[in-house]
Amino acid sequence: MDVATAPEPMSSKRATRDVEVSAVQDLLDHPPRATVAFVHGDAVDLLPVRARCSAGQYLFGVGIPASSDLADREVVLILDDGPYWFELRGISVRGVASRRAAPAEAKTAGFVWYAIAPSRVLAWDYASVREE
Amino acid sequence: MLSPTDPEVRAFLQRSLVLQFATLSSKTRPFLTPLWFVVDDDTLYLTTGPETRTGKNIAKRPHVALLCSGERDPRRDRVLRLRGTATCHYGLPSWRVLFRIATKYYVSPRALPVELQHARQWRLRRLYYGQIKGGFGHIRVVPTAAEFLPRP
Repeated sequence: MDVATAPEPMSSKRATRDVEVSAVQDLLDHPPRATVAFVHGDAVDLLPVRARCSAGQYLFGVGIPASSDLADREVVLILDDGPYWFELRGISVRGVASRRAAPAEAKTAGFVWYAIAPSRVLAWDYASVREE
Repeated sequence: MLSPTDPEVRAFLQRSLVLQFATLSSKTRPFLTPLWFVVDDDTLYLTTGPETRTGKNIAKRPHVALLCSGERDPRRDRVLRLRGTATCHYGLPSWRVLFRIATKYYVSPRALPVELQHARQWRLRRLYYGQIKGGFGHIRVVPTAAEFLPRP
């Protein structure tokens, strides 16, 4: 996330901040930031979204009128939190979106909801940085 | 659409800490990553290098989209979407930009306590950055359009 630290000589040990998805469960429940990226025409675009994720289900709702229909398109959903290095946590879900009904608990009139069939899920927590 | 130099846009950028940065791969696939940034002379400086996926995407397709959350904006009902043209550069940015990064993310009154709390992990952070392929670099984005969107 930053460029202000000088590089060290190569080491046989590797540092990682990757974690299991379960380690960022609270982000799945209540993501402070939720964003989806997709291809629109020949350009990349992105939107703020609402997200409802649990038990391997990754749902997001788009509330912007006249935005693109994302059904059957590849998207990347990021749920993340934290401004400072050791507070940065997040989860990235890549997959194909499909339309679905709004979650029962979501008070989201006017939103179009999608589910992602995930092809890749990655979670990180910089406070957990460690050697492997 | 607003001009990226609109005072309201500039103020919102100053109140944002992390932006979501969307690029397009050479195979026309979307890529999204959260990044730190600072603004200098109406150019956004982002903290990632040319050998990252983001950097490689920019080398092929420089048109990008960004979303700022305005974490410190008093209004909590909007986000800012920018479109722009990005270039990727090897090496560190200017000292002025580095100073802005340091004051924003390391030694600000809110950042410093977080840094000190994790002082034992600074060595691991250095190790983490030492793994960066191709060494350090940075991205410059010249915004071409700005638009406030309702926060969902």
